[in-house]
Amino acid sequence: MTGNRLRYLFLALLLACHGAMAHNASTAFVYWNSDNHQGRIDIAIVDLQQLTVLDGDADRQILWHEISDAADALERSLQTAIQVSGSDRRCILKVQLQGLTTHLDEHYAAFSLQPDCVPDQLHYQLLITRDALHKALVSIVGGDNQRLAVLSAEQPRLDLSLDADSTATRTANFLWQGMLHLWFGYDHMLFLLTLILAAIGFRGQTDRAPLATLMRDLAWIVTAFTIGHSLTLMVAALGWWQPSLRLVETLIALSVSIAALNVLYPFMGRHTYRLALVFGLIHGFGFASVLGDLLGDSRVPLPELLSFNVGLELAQLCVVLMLLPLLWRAAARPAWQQWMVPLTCTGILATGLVWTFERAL
Amino acid sequence: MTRYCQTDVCGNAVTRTAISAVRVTLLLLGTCTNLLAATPPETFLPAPDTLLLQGDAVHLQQEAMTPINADLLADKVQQQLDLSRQQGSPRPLGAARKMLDQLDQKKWQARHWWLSATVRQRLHDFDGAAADLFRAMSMAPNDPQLHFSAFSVAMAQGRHNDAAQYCKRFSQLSPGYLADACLAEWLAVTGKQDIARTTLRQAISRPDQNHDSVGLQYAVSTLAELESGKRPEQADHLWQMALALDPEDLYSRSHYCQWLLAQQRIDDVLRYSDGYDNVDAIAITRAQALRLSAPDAATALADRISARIIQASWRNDWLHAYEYAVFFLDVRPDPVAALDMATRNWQQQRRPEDAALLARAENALNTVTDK
Repeated sequence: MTGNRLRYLFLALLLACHGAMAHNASTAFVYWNSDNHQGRIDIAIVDLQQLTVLDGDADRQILWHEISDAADALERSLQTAIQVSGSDRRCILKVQLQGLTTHLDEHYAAFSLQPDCVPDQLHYQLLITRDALHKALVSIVGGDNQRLAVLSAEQPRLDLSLDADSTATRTANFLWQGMLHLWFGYDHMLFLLTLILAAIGFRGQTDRAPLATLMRDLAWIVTAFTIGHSLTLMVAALGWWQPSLRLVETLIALSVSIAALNVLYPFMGRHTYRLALVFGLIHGFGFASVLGDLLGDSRVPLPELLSFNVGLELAQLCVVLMLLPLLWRAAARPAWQQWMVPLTCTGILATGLVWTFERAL
Repeated sequence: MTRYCQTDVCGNAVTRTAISAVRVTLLLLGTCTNLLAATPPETFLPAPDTLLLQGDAVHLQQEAMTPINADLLADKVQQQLDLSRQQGSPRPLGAARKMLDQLDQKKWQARHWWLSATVRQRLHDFDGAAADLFRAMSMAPNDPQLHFSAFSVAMAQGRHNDAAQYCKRFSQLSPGYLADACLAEWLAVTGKQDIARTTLRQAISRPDQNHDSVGLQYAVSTLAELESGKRPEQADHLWQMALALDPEDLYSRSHYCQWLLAQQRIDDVLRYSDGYDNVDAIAITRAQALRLSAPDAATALADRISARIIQASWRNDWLHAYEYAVFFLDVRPDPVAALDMATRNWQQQRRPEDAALLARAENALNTVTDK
């Protein structure tokens, strides 16, 4: 084995997937006071070297006087890389070396930031052109409120107002999480699928209902499911009552099997919405099993909770809109009754039973 | 004991993607807001000759972005990777990534793709690493180290069949300790621990004709892991041998400390973990040991680790999710946070120990919920 190859192999050992690493990637801290419109940025000493030459005597040591001697160059670099602007113009930012501080046992140089106007936007270009992992962690305070944010190569701009993401962003985030939760929650997805199959019909329904009628019926059924899970999600997430998680998860699994059975032997007749409502109540406790105690820490749980629910509902409607036309067309084929539905529902029924036993034991 | 969810770890992890994202969001927006001080830390003016930084970090950071050609650029990237390993720090990986991005990918050779894969893997982007290695292997199909890297990635992702293929090819191209070690690793994860141990024991007992100390150290630490659950005396000897071969190998040190802790050898844990508080995996094991011997010191260390976790969550950076899950299970019990971290880790890595950690975190949460 050649020396070069050995060196390569040595590096290959880096690939061993372990977490025995110290420190963090390059991180700066920005503190912004929205009351007096002034701030501070803390930059790790190791990162300051990217802005100007600090070790002028090349002794492989950086002392404090080398930082203070280079203050002018550092301040100019920061003025170029950090831009703040108000509603009508870009502010002139005065940057001044303030002293030394520490974050997680690492030395940081602190610089004060003083704009000559009232800024509402910050554009951050510091270090991100040299270090792909660099991020600035931003804390904006004003009165008794605080907002945290992150600046990075992917997100170099920041609204400096305190409520920039307190409602809109968080609400949108929970809406998205609600959608994701349904799409990735395969037990909920299977339950929804059985509701769609039940609405289309299987045994003894040779004359199919028009697609528009089916869509309307299914909208009611899905809405009943949403009403059910919204109620219990709220009850549990607000901390009023949360049954045993194991019991809930077991019942959710069982609901999948029962719903599949209802397709094969429609014991609910035209009242599938009742089944959806009752089982929706159970699924809601499942949705809440995680959100419940977490939303307890949130200052305004209701908007997030509502948006999470709306996200679930939107995701359900998306699934219905995508699947219903396809399944409705498929239902016209003889294979639909002969094997498609029996096979699918038997599979779902069996899956639900396996989950039930796994979760109950 | 509640066992629900234990049996379908893999499937549930997919479901928990969304849940975890919500939790992490809340951790960031909620918990951190409470824990982080609204005011920045105090500043002070130190004496002019106060030493702030020294050693390799001083020069390499300055030289990092000098314009260079493709080969020199690869050398520079490799230097950053070396530095990352020496310091046990992900910081140089950011510079390495940026350097690679400087060069048009049309000019990339196999080595550049391999370096890119290495950076990605260190950052737990295993899909990206696998894709880069695929490109590299299309350019240099007989480079053994690409197959070894691909083996490591496949193992981390739980793609054991692929891992076997890469290991087999690597063994053909470069027989030796590393080839024996990769075979043993694969045998172990596929349930053939006894054969794995025998294979490696025989390999290590052979004379080292190639003077491959790196391969030997890797094989010894792999065998130490395999012996840990079976033959304590052998494991102890092997871990010490691995550390003697490479005292700076943080992987061996952290695993040896964990093994010592499991053996209740608290004094030895404290001895081998001394001076490594900056390494999360070792610091967390040390905090566990200190809880049993010096509670005040344990609290201080746990506070420092907590601060790191808060910063990581603020950064949304979960490179150490495995260690943080252990922290929330064994040092500062918090089942919800532990499951968050274990799930986050499972999304990145699918090794047997990751599955075990996730199951452990689920059990912890179920136990609390059932109460």
